[in-house]
Amino acid sequence: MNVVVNGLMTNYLKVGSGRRVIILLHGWGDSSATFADFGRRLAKNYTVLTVDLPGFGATQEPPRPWGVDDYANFVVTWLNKIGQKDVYALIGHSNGGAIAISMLGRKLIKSKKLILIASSGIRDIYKMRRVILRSGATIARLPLKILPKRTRNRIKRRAYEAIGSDYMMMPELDASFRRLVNQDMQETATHIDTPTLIIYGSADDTTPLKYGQLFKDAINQSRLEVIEGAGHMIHQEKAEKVAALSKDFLNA
Amino acid sequence: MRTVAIIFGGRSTEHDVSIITAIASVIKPLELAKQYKVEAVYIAKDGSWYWDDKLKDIQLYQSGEIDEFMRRAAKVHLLFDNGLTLVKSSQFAGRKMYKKIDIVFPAMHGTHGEDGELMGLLEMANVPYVGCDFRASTVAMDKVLAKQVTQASGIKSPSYIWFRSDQLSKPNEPLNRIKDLKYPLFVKPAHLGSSIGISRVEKESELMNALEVAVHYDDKVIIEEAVPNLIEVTLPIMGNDELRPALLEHPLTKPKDFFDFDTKYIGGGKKGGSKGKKGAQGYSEIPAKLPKELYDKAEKTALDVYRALGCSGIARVDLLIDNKAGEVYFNEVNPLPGGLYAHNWRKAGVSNVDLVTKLVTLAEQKWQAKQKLTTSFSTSYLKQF
Repeated sequence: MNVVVNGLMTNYLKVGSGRRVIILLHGWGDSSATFADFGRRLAKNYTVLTVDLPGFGATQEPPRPWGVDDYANFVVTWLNKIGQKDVYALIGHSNGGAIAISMLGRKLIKSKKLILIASSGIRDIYKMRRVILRSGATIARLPLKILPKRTRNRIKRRAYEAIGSDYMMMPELDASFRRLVNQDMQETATHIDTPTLIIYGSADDTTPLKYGQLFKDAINQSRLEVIEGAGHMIHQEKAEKVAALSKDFLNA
Repeated sequence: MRTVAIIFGGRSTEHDVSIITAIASVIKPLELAKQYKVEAVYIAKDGSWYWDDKLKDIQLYQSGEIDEFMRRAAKVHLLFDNGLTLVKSSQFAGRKMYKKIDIVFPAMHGTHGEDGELMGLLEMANVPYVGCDFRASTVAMDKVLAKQVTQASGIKSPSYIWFRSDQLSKPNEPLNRIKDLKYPLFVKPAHLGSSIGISRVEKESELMNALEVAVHYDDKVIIEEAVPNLIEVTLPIMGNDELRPALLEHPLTKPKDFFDFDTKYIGGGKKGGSKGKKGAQGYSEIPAKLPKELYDKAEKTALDVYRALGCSGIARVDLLIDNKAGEVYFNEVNPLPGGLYAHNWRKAGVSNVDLVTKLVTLAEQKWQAKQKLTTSFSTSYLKQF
């Protein structure tokens, strides 16, 4: 379904018919389609709403680089626009988790439950590593400039892949991405008073388990579940397990 | 050997679909026919024209090497010499290469192509071209005009109203007129192809959001009643005077109000995580399983629409059938159906090669008939001045 939110053509989906409404928020470089399997499992008991965030899937790009809070404001505006007042639960994967934290930590909406799946939003662990890499990148970029654009992009992509960055996935949104990775959500998370389930995979390189522990410390009523051997796309890799954990938590 | 130029790509949301139509459904079968010299003319998303044999390879677009190609390749010039000649600078000392085109095969979808703009250019060049002329294309690609013209020929459409986007700044007047319509309604941009910007509206409270979506894409909006007990069918037709229908096709898509993750996307997701199943779209029933009487009625309606709009060469007519009432309504016309609807023609006994050669022949016949008309004559008007 389409709706215009703040001038942006926005694509969203509504599935299921339960009385309780759950919002799913996808990660960076992803789209609402990421929840195909997971969302369908939840839709058996709940009404599931999910949106392509601006710049991803079938939603228009934001007019300027956006940070986490901008995305959070967008989600709230979207919910108002489609007349969705009551939200039972927010579920966010990766950057979608950071957005959910921003929404609840800043009290933009009320939700009875929160589930963070391999959420991003912790920036300081690798801060030193990033600072070093960034200055390295600036120096390394200089000689790259003389290469043809295609070769340059290929080398850049390889380098960013090597350091585990999503940076090159959406080259047109890189300014937004740089804003996102500079924002830490821990302080915001301490304002959350919603019961929260935190799910991480033990083999996640993108948002390591350590992030989960930090969020668990930050959020009062939270519980951390670890899925052994699972990576970052945990809701796809272990859809059944993640859905079962989520349902138990939501039904409780 | 005559030369056929296939023009494809273009400044349209359906740019990529056009590449597939051109390469798979037009260029390949035309080359197999071995009766023509085939030239590929590609219009980039920025509107630049290119002409090169390399453009016939789908790999070029899939690999993204097209960007590199465009940086190096010379753009093509068009020469109007009571016909159409392609001109480009060759890599050797800027020598110019010329290629006289005998027939053009437009393979463009959507705006700036299928809507008659390209056909107008070809008409000016006085070169034979495949498919509907610019008049029929323009009318066909405007959902409101197409309904008005077919209604004047006694063909039924679901009840509708339309308005211009600027009228939405004072929404009371259009909203009052919408009150005469029965919900559920469909709100559509008037000019856009495929299903872009279309919303189904169940109740009045959903109406404004749907109108906003439609005017985001188009300056003209149509609002029409949904047909109850709906069976959607579509019929590809070819011919100038004598018409040949293919088979009535019933696309097996899920109803528009059934929202499922699969219908919008196939695959996607980051890091290759999402497997993605084949969506409901892409399956259809050919021929549509309808009672003989209803099948014939639908086929006749489609042929009537084709004639009423003045289509020629090829077009596909979409119809809406109220299965209980046995009523057939006109929905819209695609002057250049994606992939020429070759899958349907094959089932109707027309191979891809037969289809494209037949279409080229129809283009030549139409052009020859037009040459018999007098368009200019000598007068003494200048001397009297």
